[in-house]
Amino acid sequence: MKTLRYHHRGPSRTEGRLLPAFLVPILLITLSSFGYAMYPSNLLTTFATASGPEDISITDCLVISYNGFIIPPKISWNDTELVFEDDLLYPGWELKLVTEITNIGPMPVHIWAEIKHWDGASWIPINEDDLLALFRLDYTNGFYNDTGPDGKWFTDDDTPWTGRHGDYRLWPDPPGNKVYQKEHLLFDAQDHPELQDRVFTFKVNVNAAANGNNNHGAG
Amino acid sequence: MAAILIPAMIISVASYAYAHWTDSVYKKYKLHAKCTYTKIKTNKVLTDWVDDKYIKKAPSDEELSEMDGSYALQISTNKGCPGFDVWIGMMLHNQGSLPERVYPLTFVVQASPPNGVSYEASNFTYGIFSGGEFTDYYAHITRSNFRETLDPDTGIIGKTPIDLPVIIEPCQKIVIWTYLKFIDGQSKFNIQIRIAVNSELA
Repeated sequence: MKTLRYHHRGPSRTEGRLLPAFLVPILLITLSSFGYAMYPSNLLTTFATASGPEDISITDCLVISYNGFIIPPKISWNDTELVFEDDLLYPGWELKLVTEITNIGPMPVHIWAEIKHWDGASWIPINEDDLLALFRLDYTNGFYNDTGPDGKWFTDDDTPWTGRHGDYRLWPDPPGNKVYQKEHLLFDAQDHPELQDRVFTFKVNVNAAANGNNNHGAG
Repeated sequence: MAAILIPAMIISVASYAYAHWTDSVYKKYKLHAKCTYTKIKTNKVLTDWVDDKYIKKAPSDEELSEMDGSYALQISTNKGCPGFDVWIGMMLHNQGSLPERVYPLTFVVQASPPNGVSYEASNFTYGIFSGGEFTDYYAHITRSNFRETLDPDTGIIGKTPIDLPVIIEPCQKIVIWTYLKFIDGQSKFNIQIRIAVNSELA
């Protein structure tokens, strides 16, 4: 009768080399990829082609007020971008714009806005104070739920957005799957002739993430 | 080993995917600032009371800056006297990119010493000129013929003035002739005339 014996067998020479050869790179990749994930600047550069669960879309756009010379205002938009152009800015030029943003993804998301300006080579983050200081553009924006009782935007009773449950999240299903971003631009350049013939290009990103920035950009 | 490797690989992939789990829309604004800029393109001072060398004009940038940018032209002489009269011609040019509404010029006339100095003034505006037709209203009026061409009561003889304010488009011009006559005062005094252009976006 044969007796089965189990012998503890140590790793072979080949296995002993393979284990660290796999484990060390994988651990490094794991750590670096989480690190990558936490870098907000890198996150922003990837949004244009992102197709993850977070999915927001521009679903409407309203020019509430515009006193420029381009009639009708030169504005175009689709579900991911809105472009507004005006080549006849003058001191006192003003634009009031409302954009409807809808969560068309499967999960609730936090949203926040950030401003960047084009310096001729790249997009540089900028805030409202610097927009005014550099370009005399008095810019404010904020997220709102609706027009309030009077049914008109840019009045005192516009309802600030807080999210369906007051948690500043945009939900994938109604109610609470839409938010309205009000933007007010005023070219306050009466005493700044040095700005004549200057071209300013800036953009406002509205970002969405499941665990996003809680700065909701209400201005 | 597989029990270690497989979760490790899943975590790696998942964490990279997490990095892409954000979405954005953006709004881009491209804005080009234009200007409203109507200025006194050229001017002339016509009088036969004194030689040109006694008429001082201050249109340089430095001197305009000294005037706090409030005035576009300053004319002065130390040869003022009762009866002294002068025609000041100015061509205003919209050098901006937008139409502007031009209002009557602002004149500040000061005499030093001011004792008893009084004066009368009248303004005549001509235009609106888009080409070279302004020459009959400005360039052809010179020190040698202004007494025959300009009338203190009617302006350019044979020409009909227009009323201000007027809207002038970019590149258009208007011509303004101002007549000043000092009536009373000491036998000799200094005169300083400051002129401001008043315009706004039409």
